[in-house]
Amino acid sequence: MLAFASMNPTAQEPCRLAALGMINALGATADEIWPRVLAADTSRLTRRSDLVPERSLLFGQVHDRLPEVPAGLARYDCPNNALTMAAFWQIQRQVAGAFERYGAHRIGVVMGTSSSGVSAAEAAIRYRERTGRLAPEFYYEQLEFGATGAFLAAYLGVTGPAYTLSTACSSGARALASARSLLQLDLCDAVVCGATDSLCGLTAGGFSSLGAISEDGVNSCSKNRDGTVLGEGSALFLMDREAVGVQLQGVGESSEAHHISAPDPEGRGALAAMQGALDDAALAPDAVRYLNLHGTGTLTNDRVEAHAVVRLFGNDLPVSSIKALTGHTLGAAGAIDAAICWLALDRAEVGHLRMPPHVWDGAHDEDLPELHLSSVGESVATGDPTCVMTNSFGFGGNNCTLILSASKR
Amino acid sequence: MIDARITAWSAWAPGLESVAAWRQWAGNPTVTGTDGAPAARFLPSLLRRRCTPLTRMMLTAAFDCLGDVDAKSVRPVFSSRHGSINESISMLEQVALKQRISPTKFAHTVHNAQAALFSLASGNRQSSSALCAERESFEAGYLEALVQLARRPQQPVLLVVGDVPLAAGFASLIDEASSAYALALLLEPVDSSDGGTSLGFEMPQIDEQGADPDSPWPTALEFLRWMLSEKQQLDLVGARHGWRWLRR
Repeated sequence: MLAFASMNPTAQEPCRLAALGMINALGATADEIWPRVLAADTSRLTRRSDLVPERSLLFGQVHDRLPEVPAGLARYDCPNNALTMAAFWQIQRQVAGAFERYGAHRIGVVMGTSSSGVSAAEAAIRYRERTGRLAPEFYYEQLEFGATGAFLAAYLGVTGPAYTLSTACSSGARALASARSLLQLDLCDAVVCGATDSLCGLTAGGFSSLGAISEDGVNSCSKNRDGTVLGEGSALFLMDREAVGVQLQGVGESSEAHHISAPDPEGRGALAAMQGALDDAALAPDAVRYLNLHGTGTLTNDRVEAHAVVRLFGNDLPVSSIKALTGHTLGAAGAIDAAICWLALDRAEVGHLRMPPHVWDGAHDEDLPELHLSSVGESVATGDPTCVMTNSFGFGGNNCTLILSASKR
Repeated sequence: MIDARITAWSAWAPGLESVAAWRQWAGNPTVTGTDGAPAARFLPSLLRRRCTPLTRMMLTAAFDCLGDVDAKSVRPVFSSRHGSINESISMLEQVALKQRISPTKFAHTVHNAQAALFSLASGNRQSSSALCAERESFEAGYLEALVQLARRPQQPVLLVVGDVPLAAGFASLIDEASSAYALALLLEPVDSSDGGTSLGFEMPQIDEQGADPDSPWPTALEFLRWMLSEKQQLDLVGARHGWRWLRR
């Protein structure tokens, strides 16, 4: 695995995830979402029959009314950008502080998405089927992927660099990784980073065609699993160089070179990403206290991830996936999973850290190695620092693993 | 100022398919073409048939740029404003008509499809990026390439940018000249070798931006034109800040 080891001498510079805003099917704020994660609340999924022809499926749809995109930014008016605004409002005060301290030109934006405003384009095209022309309220910026970062930059008024990563389901994790590098290269003093994805017929239809969607819900690691549930949401962080609080301590990345829509069955790509993150953070595997699985509930994901996790960590490390609660939020998932790890660290009590429970039917798949799947109410002892890991494995074989840590206060 | 050395480049546009053709174009530039895509015969035929025109252009530029360099050793960064959006739009029309989407077509039109197919075609298992930034997709791609180079200086970064004209009915929605093109640059740290062209890069604030060249071809090709010239400095205007390159 040495070929994947990072020798980046700057990796140990502080990189604080200073503030978090988030929204998904579980709630409109971190304060609403976190208790529902800990309680394994699966009641928030919605059944819809309008997204995939002839299929009635569960979706992790946001329940809350979304903010209105300002009239001056109408060209960016789509549900995806409204979700980003809803997440941003929760960190508005901290971002304003960064503006005051550093100036607009020293603040960057790095976002991830896999859908952008595709749902707005779907509505515009349906309108064209009826009337012969695209809906008048449709702008190309609602559809193009680069608008996810450009909208947030315009909304905030930053004049630092802004761009959007779109590497399928690892987009959100990669956005945090590139944001960290912008700080390390001293191109920015703070970066607003994260990811947003919104439900649309194109992605739902595509995943359904690939045979990846479940009828009954995400049941990762069970012999009864039958695929994933799609969701939507956003998670945004303010990232800076302070040495206190929750840190982004390690990043590991790899590509599969295997198949356009399936990972290497031996899990080499997954293993390389996790090992790379440990190397980058200068940590041994036993320093990791909890691992947030990619855990989509597809057979291929389960096989690859379970084998790679056991090979690197053995069977004792507590692991779980929240996708049974929120659905798989695709490009946003990497940022939302990082947000879940952030909440676990930020809200840890003296001596112990409460872990998100794994939601499944308990029917172990004999073909998988045994994993320590965390249960409701389970805690793990904190360390100094306490390190947790999160995996994101994207379509097209694009993997990214992050390590977050927090020292005892 | 962040320095990097461009140790190889390659570009493809309709009618501009050799280094000599590009050098001639750089000396006497004209609006580049909008139709056509390279054959990309280096791809297995089954895979080649499924690739979108953009994928064939970007992978052709990528492999031409690498030449004898081991394709497994580089960290790829793919940037495109539109990606394979035309194929996505045709799938959106199927969605509107409640038709089933082809899983293969879906897989080949995600924004990181070119990165995935490069990895598949070359056996490359390194970290790869796929990004976009509206009209500044080349410029942001260069920035992400520097980000990746800084993360692991011992590995060259292969930056590949490209776009195709938007489908009829959508092209009129944007204020940008239509072009079909791909450009690949191999970036290495300045101290890595003595070949190629050493360039400094910075992002000046908006009030320090240079004059807008407002070229009728993509900014990636304006960059190539400058790189092949004797001029000392290139300024491209951005929505939030400028993009500046200096010959070192």
